[in-house]
Amino acid sequence: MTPKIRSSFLSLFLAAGLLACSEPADSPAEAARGSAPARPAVDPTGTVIEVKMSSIGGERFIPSEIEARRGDLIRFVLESGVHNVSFPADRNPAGVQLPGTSPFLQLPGQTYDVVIDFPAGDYFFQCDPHAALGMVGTIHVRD
Amino acid sequence: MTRKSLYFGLVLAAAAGALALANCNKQAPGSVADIAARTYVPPGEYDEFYAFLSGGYNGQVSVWGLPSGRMLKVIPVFSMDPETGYGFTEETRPLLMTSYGEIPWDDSHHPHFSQTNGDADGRWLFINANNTPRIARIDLTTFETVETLEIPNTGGNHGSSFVTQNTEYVVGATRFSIPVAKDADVPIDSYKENFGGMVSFVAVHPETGRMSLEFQLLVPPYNYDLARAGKGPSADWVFFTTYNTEMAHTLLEIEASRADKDFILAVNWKKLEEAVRDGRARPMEASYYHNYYDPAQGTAVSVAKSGTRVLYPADVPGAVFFLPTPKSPHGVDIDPSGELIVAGGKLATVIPVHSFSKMLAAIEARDFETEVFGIPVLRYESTIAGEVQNPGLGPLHTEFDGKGYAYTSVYISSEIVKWSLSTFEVVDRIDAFYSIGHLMIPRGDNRNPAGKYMLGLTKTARDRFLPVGPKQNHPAQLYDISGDRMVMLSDFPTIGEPHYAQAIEASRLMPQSKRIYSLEENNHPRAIKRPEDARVEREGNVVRVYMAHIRSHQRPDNIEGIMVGDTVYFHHTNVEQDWDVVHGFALKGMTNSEVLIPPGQTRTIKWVPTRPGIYPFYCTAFCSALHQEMQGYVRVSPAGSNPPLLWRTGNETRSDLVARAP
Repeated sequence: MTPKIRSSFLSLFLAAGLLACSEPADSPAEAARGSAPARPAVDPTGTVIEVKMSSIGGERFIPSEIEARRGDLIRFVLESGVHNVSFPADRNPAGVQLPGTSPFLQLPGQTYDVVIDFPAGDYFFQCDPHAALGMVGTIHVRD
Repeated sequence: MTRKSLYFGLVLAAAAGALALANCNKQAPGSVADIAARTYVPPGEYDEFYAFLSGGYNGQVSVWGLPSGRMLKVIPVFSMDPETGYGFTEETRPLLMTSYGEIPWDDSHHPHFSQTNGDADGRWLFINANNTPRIARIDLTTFETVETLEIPNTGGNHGSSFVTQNTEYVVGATRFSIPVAKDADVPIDSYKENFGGMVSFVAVHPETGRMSLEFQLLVPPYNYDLARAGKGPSADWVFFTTYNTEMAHTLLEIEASRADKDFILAVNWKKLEEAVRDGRARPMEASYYHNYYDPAQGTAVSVAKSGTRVLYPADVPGAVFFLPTPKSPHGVDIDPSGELIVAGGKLATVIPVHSFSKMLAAIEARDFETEVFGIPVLRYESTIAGEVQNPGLGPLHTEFDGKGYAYTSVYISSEIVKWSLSTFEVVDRIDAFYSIGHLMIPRGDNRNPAGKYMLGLTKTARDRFLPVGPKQNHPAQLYDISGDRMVMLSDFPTIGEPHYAQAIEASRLMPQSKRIYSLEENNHPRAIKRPEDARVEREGNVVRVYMAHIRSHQRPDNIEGIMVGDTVYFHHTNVEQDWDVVHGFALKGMTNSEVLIPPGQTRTIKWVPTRPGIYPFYCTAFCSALHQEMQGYVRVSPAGSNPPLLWRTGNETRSDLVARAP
């Protein structure tokens, strides 16, 4: 009987102590992870378009002009160097949910996929550290 | 169940509950956990203040976060820095130029922020070189040294680099008096006849920050120690401490300690300005260097200058006065209101506090005790506002919390005393470990100090940290001064020997801190803006390699056609535009240093090969997953072999053979 009483007192005090300490876990990083908006669904066409990211002979996307349909998938493949892909809001149509900025790809063969689930139009993309060197491109999307 | 065992259970449970509570942040005030929590900055979060500590004999400035005591950066200023290539690269070498040649080292003492209306404005940080007299300016958007100005007619620029209320001037002061004529060859024991002191006024351009030596004031052959400009009502004045009014030139520890009082020199810089404008300054021979970063060229340049304008006290009546002050005064600090002039005396047993308004009244009434070297000496009794009694032995420097209190470091008795600016009574004191020099409160010399923390900069560590041989690094001690009593929070070793320091709210500097140098705005004449422009060119015995650095290769990475006897310049451009992606360069056998190239910048290093062979080079700064692959070779052929220049990146080979064909 004694151990039972002991442990119940113990848990009471422990709980009180823990309660006094606890604060809502609400860091910006956690909030960001939880709030990624669902992207609109699009019927996949099954087409995969490969775009090389290269450092040899100049920093560039190959090809840099891409024709695509809604539902196509663009696969960025690192050939050499360290590159990313981003769609700057100030150089793209307003009101379109643009793809997020990719992480940096560092190992040859690493890929990053972008599903074309945005309306017909021209979309500008770039590699952030190398845009000034001309590493930019455009996706021409048609329905 | 016995009653005894029930009680036992209760006690145990209560103890467990208390333990659980003790894990919270809300600790009993003054407990170890409470004090630790006050300096704790969780991983990924930022400190509340940037602190800039002088490096003393390392010649640099180090940047720290407060309250954590985390070191953020070392900014090379007066000393070469093989870590970054500062002072080794062709772009930074000019910053170390003086009239004595290129000097690889100095002793940096007193950093001071630029100010607007008497408060730090976060634009620039000035710091003095104590040995070969100079003042440097650090840009607080890049945290890099962008200018150095040599101060002529000065022997040890110790009482520097303090700014006036709106950064109209940054001042210099000679610690050692020296012969007044340039390069004079006179007997040392003709000190009293031939030697003189000099205080200097360096104007600061309000937009660019560019410094210019505006005028100097010839003063008696004493030692000039520290300085402070007034603020508010006293904003037109600068105050300098003197010692060695005995005018000794040998064994100063005895000879310069005889007088009961030395002086504070009070100078009205507005009146000096007028006198210069009226043509009352006399030209004086001098040669000095002015070095500054020129954005139009992407490199620092050295400009040799000569001649200065010197005012004599007799030429500017009503502008220069002496305030007798006991006893070998060191620091002179002005309270936030601008009314109180607080002196520290290395051998004093009180802290004398002069009143600025009483000083003005005494000047108005011509209430002079005497005159020395044509400078009126005011009466101590006429200017003194009060003496702080029992401040310990050897008060040195004072900062303010903006809440009516002053904090004075006391060297000999190794303590900090807190005293009231209204009653001049000591209200608290705390030991320093050990032998404190300067102390610093964030913006504690401003009109509106941020009086939450205080940093004590002590001279001796002894047993404070793990022993590391006969010499220990100098400590800094952090105090919480938000309450009635000072509380020591932490104790950490620094680098070099910090003399003075400055600190400012992080929120003022963070938003302006640059992330990259814009490649587009890179105006360096030897920059390459596209990797395709990488090339090698020969100009007689000089070979220039225009090398692009990009994750994860150099371009070109194979170079042939260099001969023994050539001088090779590597012009490195980091063509990346990504924050904190830095490339480095080092080549086997180079006799200078590596080069770090921040994103968007061009940096040049010189190499004179002395032996033929194959020389590997590589990126010294870990930049990417394939950083270790970022490497190349230079081939050096014997002198006179005249091989064609050839450079290669991957399967693309280029050569100057076409250019050399008839």
